[in-house]
Amino acid sequence: MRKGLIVATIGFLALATTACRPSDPVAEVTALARDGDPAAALQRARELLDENPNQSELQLLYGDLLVGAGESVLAVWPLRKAASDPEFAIPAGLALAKVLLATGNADDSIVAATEVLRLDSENETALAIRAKAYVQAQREVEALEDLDRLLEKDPDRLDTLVTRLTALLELERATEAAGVFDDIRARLDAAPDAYEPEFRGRMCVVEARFTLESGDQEGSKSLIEACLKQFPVDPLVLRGAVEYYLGAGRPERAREILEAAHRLVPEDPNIRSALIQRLEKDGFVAEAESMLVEAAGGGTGSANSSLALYDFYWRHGRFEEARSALEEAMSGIEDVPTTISLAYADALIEVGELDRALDLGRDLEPGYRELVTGRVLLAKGDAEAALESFESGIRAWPDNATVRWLAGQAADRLGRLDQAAQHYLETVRIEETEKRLDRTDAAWRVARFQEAMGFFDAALNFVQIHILHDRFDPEGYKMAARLGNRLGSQEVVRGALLTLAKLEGQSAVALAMQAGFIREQAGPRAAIDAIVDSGLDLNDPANIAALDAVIEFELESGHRERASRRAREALDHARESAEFHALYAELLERTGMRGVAEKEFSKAIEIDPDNIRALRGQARLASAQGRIDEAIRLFDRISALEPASFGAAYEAAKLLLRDPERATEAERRLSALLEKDPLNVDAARDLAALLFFRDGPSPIALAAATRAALFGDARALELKGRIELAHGDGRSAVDTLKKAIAAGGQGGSTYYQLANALLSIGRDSEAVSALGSAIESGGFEEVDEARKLISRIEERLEIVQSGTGS
Amino acid sequence: MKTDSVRFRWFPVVALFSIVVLFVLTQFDFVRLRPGGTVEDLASLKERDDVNVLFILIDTLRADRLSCYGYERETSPNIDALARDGIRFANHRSQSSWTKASMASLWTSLYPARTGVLRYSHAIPEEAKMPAEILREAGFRTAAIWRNGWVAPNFGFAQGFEFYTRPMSKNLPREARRENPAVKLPGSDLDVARSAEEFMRTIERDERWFLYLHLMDVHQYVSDLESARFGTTYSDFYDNSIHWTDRIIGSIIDTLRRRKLLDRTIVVIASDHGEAFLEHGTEGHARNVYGEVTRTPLIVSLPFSLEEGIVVETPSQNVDIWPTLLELLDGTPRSESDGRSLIPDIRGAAEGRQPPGEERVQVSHLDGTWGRMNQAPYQIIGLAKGRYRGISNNGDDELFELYDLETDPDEQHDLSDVLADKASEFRSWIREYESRLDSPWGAREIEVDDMLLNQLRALGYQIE
Repeated sequence: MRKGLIVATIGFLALATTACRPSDPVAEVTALARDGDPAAALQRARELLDENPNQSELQLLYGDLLVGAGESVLAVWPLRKAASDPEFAIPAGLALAKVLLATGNADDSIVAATEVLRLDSENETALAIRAKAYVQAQREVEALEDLDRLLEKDPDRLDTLVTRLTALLELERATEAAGVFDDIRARLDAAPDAYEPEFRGRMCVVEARFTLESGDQEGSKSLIEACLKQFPVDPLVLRGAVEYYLGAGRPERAREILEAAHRLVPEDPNIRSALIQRLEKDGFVAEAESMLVEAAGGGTGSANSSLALYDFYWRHGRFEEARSALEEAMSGIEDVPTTISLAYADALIEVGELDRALDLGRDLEPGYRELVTGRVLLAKGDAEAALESFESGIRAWPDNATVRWLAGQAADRLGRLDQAAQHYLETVRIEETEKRLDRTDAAWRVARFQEAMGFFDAALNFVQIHILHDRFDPEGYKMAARLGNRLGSQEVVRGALLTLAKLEGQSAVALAMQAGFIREQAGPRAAIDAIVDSGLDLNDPANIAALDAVIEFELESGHRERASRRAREALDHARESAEFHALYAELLERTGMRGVAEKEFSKAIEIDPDNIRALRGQARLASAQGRIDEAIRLFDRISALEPASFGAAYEAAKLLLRDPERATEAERRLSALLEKDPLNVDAARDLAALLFFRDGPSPIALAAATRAALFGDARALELKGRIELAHGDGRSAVDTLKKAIAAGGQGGSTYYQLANALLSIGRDSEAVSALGSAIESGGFEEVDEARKLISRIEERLEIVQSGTGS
Repeated sequence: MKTDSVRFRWFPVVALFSIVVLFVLTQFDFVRLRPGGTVEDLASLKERDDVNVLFILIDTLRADRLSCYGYERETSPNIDALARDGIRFANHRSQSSWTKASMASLWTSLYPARTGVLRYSHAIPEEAKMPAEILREAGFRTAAIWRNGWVAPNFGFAQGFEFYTRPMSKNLPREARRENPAVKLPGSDLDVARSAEEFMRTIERDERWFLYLHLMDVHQYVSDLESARFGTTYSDFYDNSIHWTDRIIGSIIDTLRRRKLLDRTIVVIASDHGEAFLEHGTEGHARNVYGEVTRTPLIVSLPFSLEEGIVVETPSQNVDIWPTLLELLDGTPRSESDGRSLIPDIRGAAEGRQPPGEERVQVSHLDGTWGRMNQAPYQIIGLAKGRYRGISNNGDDELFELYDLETDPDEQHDLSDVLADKASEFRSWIREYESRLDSPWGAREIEVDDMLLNQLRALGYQIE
């Protein structure tokens, strides 16, 4: 037994000793690397170095292995360590200098290369690395010294000449650069076969660009054409030539060049793609599509061709075709990348195949999965769950502008406008940095929200961002002018209106806005003068916005006759103008001449059946005369003609509200309207009132009232307070009703509601005071009830006081 | 005889068992953790010749977002662990809200008015004595791994470092995302942590080292799905990024543990400034000196663990850090310093008697036009003393602000009109501070090349 144990112990120790016996670590690690297992080689090197870092050769090998594994950032440490050993200072120093240069640490690379040169002053590799590092560090003068030394040793080093050319150009030493360039060209001419065609093509374009920069347009053009003749399908030459002609304002020549190249190598996907893009940009959309379809070959082409076709259809909103093209592309890809799966899910959602999209999304990584799920849920109308998904997605993918924007949409639908605004704000933040503000309308949405909240400074900031990416949107300039006026910034107003005036059909609108601002400062007469003095032809239907403003100001000044005269005069000048007929009709309507007004509206519609103004006038008249269905039909027609405008939709819903039997339809319409126009306070308030008075204090009614009250509207606040009180939340009701009073809702009813809210939380004395204010304000339904209530409370208070006294 | 025989028979078993037990024990952390210690052991550190310094600067970290500073969210379990058996300075402040000015003060222990580093072209001159130089002269290997362009070598921050390295990874790791799209700094702090490990792999066992890691992922709001647990607003993502960075800190500490260096290393966690979330109408930093951008953490973890961590309540600031560390390491006070050693405060806190903080001053200073070369300087100076903090806006009395930090720690209610005498007192102290321009060295200006300027712009700074 004992002997056995001793043997076992000796065996154990012997084994341990063998295991610890030093072998040649470099050979061991090299062998692992050679066996095709770099990870094992790295791991073993680490273990060995952890035991003893003072193994320079192994440190050098480890550094090399790290570089090979794409871990250059880490390689600097072992290489530095190895370079500190005189035996390995040169190879490790060179490797270190190279790695540092490649990882953008030019200054450190210079130090490392200089150290090598200190040990071996003629080391050409070190000189070449240091020269490049000097150029990267913008120390071109020192770079030239190294380059000259290299050229002394070998005047034929083309890469050295090219680096020298770069350095001289950076130093703006054009004459010397031209000399180097000539030198390079001479070498190319003398031995063209010695150099790659790509290099020769590149030098050809560089020469053309040189010539252009020296101011010789014609010379440059000749050179470009010569390059094209010599290298007709070289990508760099083609790119240079296309850029040249686009810069010269000749897109048709750029297109011709690409067409010619495509004819020569129809199978080249890059040239084909460049040509398609060019065609589309130049407005030849059908031609571009035809080329894309041909290239995709109904699925027989490459996956990339089908992807390009998908992209085309997607950008043009042709989702069914986009989906088909994508399916064809995916059938040709063995391992479909996540981004393509995501695009496919998007396409499925757009064509209504929601469940398939959901299935597809389940297999994606979290960020993408939540994006797909959220989109499907939103499309199914479940905004609450969609928002939850999007927020999960944002956690996985915070810098994704699309998820942020979609979360904003979901929050909007739920009436959580401030949460929506926060998501839109983040969308803008991302898009602004990525310079992709054209992707969503987030900036515009934030601007509208901030304006509604009364944060004019912030709104101006965001509308300016919106304008940056949508330079032709008149609404943006109108808002900017409006905000500038609010903020007292004449500079902003002037800038916005000047730009607005330059947009097609907007000069009269700009003038009318300017007159409106003048009116605020100097009254309606001055505003009229501003318009009239501008010299704008008010009898031209194109300028109706200005005429509208003048008529409005005349009416405001009490000059009804003048207003009428101006409208008639305009109509006499353009009897065929539906707008002028409608305008005149409106004036008649306002003076109570409804019969004549209706005839004028009809005339306008005869001239232009889609005239919005006349249709709206007719709807109003129909409504006033109790022809509700006809009015609703007319408002619906306007909504169909103007899908981005929501006034008519609201008017129609309001008419339905008048009839208790049609409340359900009113509710449906108001809800639909709020989905499209989340900031419509009136619609939100009407919906809240409808739901509250019909169904009692439901959470939906409270949500609608909260949405309406967000912007401080007194009526909305009062309604919200009433719902809160009915819901049993007296404390919130008190706060809300106080806000309603502060916002100007000082009618007796508001005070009466406040009194009830105060009573509900036992603040009787304050309630008496509120009831006093209510009775003082008067004019509310519950005034008798208020009087009785005040007596009852006072009576109770007296009893309490006498009880306390005894 | 029989007994002897039995004893002898069992000896090899016991020996073998002991070998196995020892082998097993060495596989677990508890034999590699730090020994226990008390505040009295602070004095012994200077006697040791094996203590290293790991200085971790977490850029843009405000103190109140760390759990150990009272934040309700659990953002920082690893940092909290360091604080739990180390020293936490509860009332700490940075000298500026802009990295370069702040770091110049941190390293030189001088207030910004005296470093002369207040604008973007200013640099620390070679005459300045930096801690890395002092430690290198004392035989330490010195290395820095940094990612913020404001501490680039041409601004003078590399002085004394043997290696001053910037890991230049191309991309964020696949699992991580960046919320703050205003910045485009390549890579992530994972590169720093991995580089730190490689640095340690080149160090021999008998070598001492000072390693400075400048982390940037909080500045960039980087997080991954696991750390993104606090919501989706901008401010939530800031917290997410703290949690992400805390995990990286955990991995660095783990590296120390695996390399058996915990009982030989002082770990310092500090920050250059905080971050604003519209508390005073602005987001980000380097715009003013309010508390949200100047209240930063300071945590010191020692080579031994304190049974109960020490919380120092008396006011401290970044200029105090190096006087404290240098005294811990060699007992020498820092010369030419506006800061002071915090060791008396640590001792006081450990003994349950916080030294009175009444007279302690905390200064934060920012040139409001630091990035606009065409504009005149606009000095914003905050000075806290006792319960009040005064903020001077370019010396304009009309714009002077005074806050009562006891009743209004968030600095929302300006009392300069109500407490006019107090305000006047603070104004004169700030004027006195401004007049102290006796820098031990002259100011140095450098030409900042386009490449660096663009890198700095990529951090989201507006530089004209």
